[in-house]
Amino acid sequence: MSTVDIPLVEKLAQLSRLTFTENEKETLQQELGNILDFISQLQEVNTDGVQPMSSTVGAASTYERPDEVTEENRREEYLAVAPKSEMGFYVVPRVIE
Amino acid sequence: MSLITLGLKEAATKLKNKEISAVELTKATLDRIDERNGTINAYNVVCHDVAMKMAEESDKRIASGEAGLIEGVPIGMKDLFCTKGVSTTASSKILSNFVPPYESTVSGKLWNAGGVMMGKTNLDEFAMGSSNETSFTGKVLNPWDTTLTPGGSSGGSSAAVADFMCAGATGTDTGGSIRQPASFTGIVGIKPTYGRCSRYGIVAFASSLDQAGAMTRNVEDAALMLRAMSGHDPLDSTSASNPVEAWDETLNDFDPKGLRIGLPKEYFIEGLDPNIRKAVDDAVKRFTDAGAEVKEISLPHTKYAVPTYYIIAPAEAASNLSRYDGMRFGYRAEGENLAQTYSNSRSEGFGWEVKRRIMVGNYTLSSGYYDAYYIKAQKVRALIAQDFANAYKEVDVIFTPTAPSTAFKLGDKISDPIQMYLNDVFTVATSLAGLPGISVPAGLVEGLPVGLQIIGQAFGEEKLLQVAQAHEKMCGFQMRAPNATATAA
Repeated sequence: MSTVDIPLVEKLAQLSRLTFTENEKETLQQELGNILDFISQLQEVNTDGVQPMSSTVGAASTYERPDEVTEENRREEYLAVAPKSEMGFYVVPRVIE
Repeated sequence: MSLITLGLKEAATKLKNKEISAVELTKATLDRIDERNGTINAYNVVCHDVAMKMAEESDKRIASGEAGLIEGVPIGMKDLFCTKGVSTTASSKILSNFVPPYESTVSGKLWNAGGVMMGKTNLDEFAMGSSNETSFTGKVLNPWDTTLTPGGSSGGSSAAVADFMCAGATGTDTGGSIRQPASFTGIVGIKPTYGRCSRYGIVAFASSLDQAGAMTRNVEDAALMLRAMSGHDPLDSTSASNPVEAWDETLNDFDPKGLRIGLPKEYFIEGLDPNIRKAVDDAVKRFTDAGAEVKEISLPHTKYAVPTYYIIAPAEAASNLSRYDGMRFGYRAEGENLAQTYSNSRSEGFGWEVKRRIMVGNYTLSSGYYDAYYIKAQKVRALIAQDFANAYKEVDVIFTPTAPSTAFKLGDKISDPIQMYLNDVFTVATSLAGLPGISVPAGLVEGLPVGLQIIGQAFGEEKLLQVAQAHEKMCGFQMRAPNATATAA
């Protein structure tokens, strides 16, 4: 059984870059606890000697192409969808004092 | 003749023969959408002007003998595919202002084949859900009965097809998001083999599982539409180089005699709705009457498929959704510093189900839990794939119900995530194994459609579609009429 406490919820929120109200944290404590109990069923499966499967695509089908630049400069198009930009750059909050 | 009831192939043929024009077909379809979308909410955006312009171009190409595979046919595009210059939201607030500067490969292929975009169809936020209730743009109603869900996550697509608001729609399927809504709305939905359709330009949810597919009102249309969508793409490193075949042209080169059908005993457990069981049994009986052989098989790790999925999918989602930071695109909520701007943007931009999955994903990926959850799930995934490989030594295709129930009531499961997740019990294993699966209507239970899921072998779409069409012919399912009023079950 997994135990989820409020400090764990807060740690995960920090890792996830999410903020929650105190009420939401309590709801999450409950919901995450239920979900973790549910997925913990897997512990009963014998997986000795089994290789983890990260993809169903075999390595044989991995596609190779010549190492050439194919993307053209589309700065204006990309900056046009940015929340904030100036003089051809993304504007982000100040990170250096 | 009603234009809106025309299927994809039927419409393409009439257009090519100049019996109808793309402009009149598009107008009729847009009229239908204008009449119905206010109730059903299948479309997030309706592209009146773009559609009319595309239809005019289609008519020109038809006149000059340059018609593409689906020239002039009205298509609904799930709002998870980036469409250049047309709003793409993933039904999330965080992308509510996003207009992509590029086109997804699959949508681009459909437009190149002559498809006409009616609009962007609603979905569960970031395709996370099984009832289309987590959408920022509101829930979608099932046209068979508007108190019911159309399924999810491709619920806007399933409702649009079932309510004649397009001839075919794209879906994406990560754990059942094409097949379950197809089952709930009496249409055909195919999720091809992982790698068949490029993922380039599809808003990512769980990259090792996400796969695009076709949703239509008959199998032939699904075969044609999938043909137009498939093919290798150098822009997706997991895209398969297997040749795309003319699946719509080989549907009849098939005889059920000698077909080996597998019925996995783990899918027909006690507690399965006897009416749904009967729909599958009836389908099997028609095949055995036609000379097919049926064999009970075992997929022993079936019961672990849902928990495996709910480790792998949230883990990949947590990683994929880390790109939404309010800096380069999407919604931004300013904070006092960079970190606060990130979390304000994300906390205001994501809905609850998405946040919950990010939290679960970051739990199973964090140090101390990574091996116990994430790596463990990848190992069980290997066992699930092996179960199928073993079964296919003895059978050609596998028959199961698509979903454990017919369409359920809106609001019924939304407050209980585990109950919602369990609705995917028959579809997730196929996704984890990367295999193609199709849901085809198998009859009505208390007035509501129920789907038969047919699972094929990797890159065995030809056989899968042939079997599906043979079922369709023998079953004789009747689609609802466009003017049918909702009947409460």
